[in-house]
Amino acid sequence: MSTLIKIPENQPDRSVFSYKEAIKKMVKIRTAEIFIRDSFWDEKIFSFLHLSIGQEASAVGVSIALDTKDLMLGNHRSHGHYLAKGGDLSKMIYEVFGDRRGCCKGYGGSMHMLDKSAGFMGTTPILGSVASIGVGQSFAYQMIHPKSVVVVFLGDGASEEGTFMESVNLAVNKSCNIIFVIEDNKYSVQSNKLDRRSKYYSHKLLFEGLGAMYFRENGQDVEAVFNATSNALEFARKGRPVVLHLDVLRSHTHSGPILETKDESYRDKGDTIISRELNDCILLASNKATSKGSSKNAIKSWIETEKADTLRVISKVKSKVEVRSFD
Amino acid sequence: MINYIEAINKGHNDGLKGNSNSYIIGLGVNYDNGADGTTKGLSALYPDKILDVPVSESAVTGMCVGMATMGLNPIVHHGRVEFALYAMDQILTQAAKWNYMFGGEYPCRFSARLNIGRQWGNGPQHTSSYNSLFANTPGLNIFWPSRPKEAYNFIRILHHVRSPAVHMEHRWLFKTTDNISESVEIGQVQTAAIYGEHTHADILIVTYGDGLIEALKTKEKAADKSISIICFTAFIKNRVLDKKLVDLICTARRVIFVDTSNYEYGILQSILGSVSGRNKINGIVKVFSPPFLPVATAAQLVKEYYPTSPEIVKYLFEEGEVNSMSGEYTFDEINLPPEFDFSNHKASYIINEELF
Repeated sequence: MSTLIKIPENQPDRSVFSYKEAIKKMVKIRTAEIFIRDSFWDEKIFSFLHLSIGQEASAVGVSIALDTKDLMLGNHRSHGHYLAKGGDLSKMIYEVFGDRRGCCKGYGGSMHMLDKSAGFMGTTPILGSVASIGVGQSFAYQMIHPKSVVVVFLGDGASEEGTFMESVNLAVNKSCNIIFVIEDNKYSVQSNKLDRRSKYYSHKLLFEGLGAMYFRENGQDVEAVFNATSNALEFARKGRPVVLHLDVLRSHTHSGPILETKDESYRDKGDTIISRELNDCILLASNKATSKGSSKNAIKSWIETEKADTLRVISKVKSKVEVRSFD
Repeated sequence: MINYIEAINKGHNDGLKGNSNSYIIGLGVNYDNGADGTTKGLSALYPDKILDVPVSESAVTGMCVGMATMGLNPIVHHGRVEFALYAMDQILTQAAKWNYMFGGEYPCRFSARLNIGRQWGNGPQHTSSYNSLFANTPGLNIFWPSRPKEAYNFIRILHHVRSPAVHMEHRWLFKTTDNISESVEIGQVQTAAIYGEHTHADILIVTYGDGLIEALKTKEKAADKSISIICFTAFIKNRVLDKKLVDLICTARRVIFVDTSNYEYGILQSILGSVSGRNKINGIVKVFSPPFLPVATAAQLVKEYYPTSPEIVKYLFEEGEVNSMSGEYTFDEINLPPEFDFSNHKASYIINEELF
């Protein structure tokens, strides 16, 4: 007889938002991704890369609203989801470098993050595939944790896939505890959603029509994401699937270690480098934390400490990396 | 004595009894005559394990992949392989690669039952097999039960697999009968059956699935000849052919491949290529297979399509191997599923124990 996967319950449940925690998590993700980006060519990483630099708030805001026992699945752009959920930083860096000490022993690479001990159940980069896999994991997991939730991240392009519509219907049909998070950066590679959809297109009508709850929020605002997720959890924990639509800003090219340094023609008129810098999620969170009473020095200290701690771990890993071969 | 449908049903019943974490999921599987009768009555016995689902092959199969990665053993049923094509991302790209891409400690206990092959009136879009899609994908195990007792054994295995499996069911075999009293242990996978002399054959017929009936009829017709049959029944893990099978193919005086699916770049052509690429085949090779076209719907065109025993016997007659030809098949024999009784046809099996 097979045995159901069990997730360790070694951390307290989360329900209170803290700017300190949120900012530190976002800095950790950004520091790790900037390291990967800047090492990519010199270190010959050559693991197909999708960066979330600038949009870490969606991963972090969702994650800190979850209980440890809740599970998460991601897509092609999931370094942030993995680290936000508590995935092991060293194993992620080893994995990206193709070392056997990586979270997938070097077989997966950047697009395959996994840390079951943190409830991070894997990432799979084929558009929309992960949605139904999340439904199945939720169906199974509810048997042992009836109030726990599975969170599935996918992009706005994947949200147009037929299999995603099917998955939402199936999740509602089977009363799964699941939240589908659409990270909407407006572009599928470079295809603008204005070119992909008619003017009548409505996620709200689609997903509410399938019986799910649908909420939309500014994904650059980490506290707003936390609150939206907490609200979504009220439904999802009772078997009412939720589609949580978060608007995010992608600062880099779709793939590769490339920061866009000029305003590209595929982007909307208002989506400029300056607007993305002004809406950087760490900057926004720092400003809001200040307005809520945290001192600028304290915030600076959180950022610098977290950055130093992260780089210390990365530096240790980097000094030991050995690119694996077949056994 | 039970038929192929009943054998699958009994395999499920025993499998559900043996693994309370196993499920059968698919359109209408919980209905009175669910999945062509193969899940009949199971819903009453296991109401929480037999799940009807939306007509959403991709998502339903993905749900099973998700369940399978959590330690459950879901079996998804697709009534035609053509319907499963909607789910190929989940079968080939997710299930088959899951454990490998995540480092080897994350098994995906997924399996799929796919109906394949001929049935009267089903025409070009309901009769495919697409065997090579699955066979050419690392990470998948594939079963082709050619008789009820194999179907019974394989179905029980599906309830316990630790790596993804696809169960290819030739609907043409659904009315065949067999004795299933000689069941094997769950861990023992029958990868090929040998009928007749199994160390050397004068004439060797190589086939799989519903080709076995034509092979056995030919063997009966040429009873005075030393005809052996290799019937492939499963590809497990790395597809390495057992040496005994390779030797049989290489040493036979005449080797006849009988494929009821498209031969070109299919299973039997791959086997021939695999054997001849590393060994010398001493005998004459002859292939009987459909033209490289889809199946047409009209009954007369179906007659021209599938290889038959009378056609093979005619070839052997022309080659001086047999003294007389067989009568041509009747309309019913060409178009209706045969009520062939396998119970008196003894086979020795190549057993693979690597699956678990």
